[in-house]
Amino acid sequence: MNDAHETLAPLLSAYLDGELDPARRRQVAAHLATCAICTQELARLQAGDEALAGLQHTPMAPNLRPQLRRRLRRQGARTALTGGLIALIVLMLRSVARDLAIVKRKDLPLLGRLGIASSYMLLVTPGIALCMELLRDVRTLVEYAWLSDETIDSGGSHQ
Amino acid sequence: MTTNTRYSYTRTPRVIWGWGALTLGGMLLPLTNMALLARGYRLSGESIGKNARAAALGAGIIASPWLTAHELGADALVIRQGLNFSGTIDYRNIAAVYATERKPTHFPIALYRHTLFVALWPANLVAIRLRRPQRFRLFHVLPVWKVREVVINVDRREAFIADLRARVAAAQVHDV
Repeated sequence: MNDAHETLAPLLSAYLDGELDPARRRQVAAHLATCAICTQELARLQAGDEALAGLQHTPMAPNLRPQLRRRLRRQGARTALTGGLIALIVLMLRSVARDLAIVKRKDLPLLGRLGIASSYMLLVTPGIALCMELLRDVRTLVEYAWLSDETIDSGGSHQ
Repeated sequence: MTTNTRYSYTRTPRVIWGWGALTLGGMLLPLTNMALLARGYRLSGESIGKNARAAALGAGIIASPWLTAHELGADALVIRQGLNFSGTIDYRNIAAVYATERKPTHFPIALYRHTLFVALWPANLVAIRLRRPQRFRLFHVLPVWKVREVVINVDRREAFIADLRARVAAAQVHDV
């Protein structure tokens, strides 16, 4: 009896939805005739189904579809932009690798090699400074969001 | 009668060091390559024409902003950034002016959905909120969507904000 209950009780929901094969269905029906707990559980599931069926259909918000489309378009644009940026970075790295190979060439005049090397130093240093500055801001924003429940005002302080 | 006042945006030390290094690096690299190629050295993947184009592009985008400044005129604020940008905002279309620490993700021009950043470097940023969204042109010819806010960088931020607010208030009182 207990074994049958433990095996058949989890099938009540499938029984109610008509998802069991005929043999299993007969087994559950026979068990229900003798088990008060499962009968109660089945009644509870039926009541839940009826309550769900009684829910009114809520029409979709009229502006939901254009909003979703806009959001998807924006996401697509971001993906394309990210792809473009990655391609640009790859091209730049290729160019950097080629120019660094030029710096190593012994047949070129020292002044030319120094010129190329210092150009890269000049280009890279402010780039790193800028990245650090932006990263510091992101960290501050994250800390602020973590510490405060207030919405971060993206507009700064209005005067 | 109000006088025109120019406000530079390239004299702040951070801009001088940051943008200055980019300018020197951006110009020195193609010029060095061109000098080496002109003296007969072979550099793989490089040509005088290609480096001349890179130098011209560098001069246009990186070097030209050093030559211009923003200007507060009689009726409008003129925002300039070399060959990259020039735009006019009528004082009557300005709703608010305030210092901001928001930073764009890239330089010298960054366009977002509602905000246009015309800033060489993330230093001394000033936000100008507009009453009605306005369309601007990038590189003087390329029209972009209308924005509600423009963020620029200026050297004397407090003086610029005070001056602009006074002019905006005067223009709006005059209108009433």
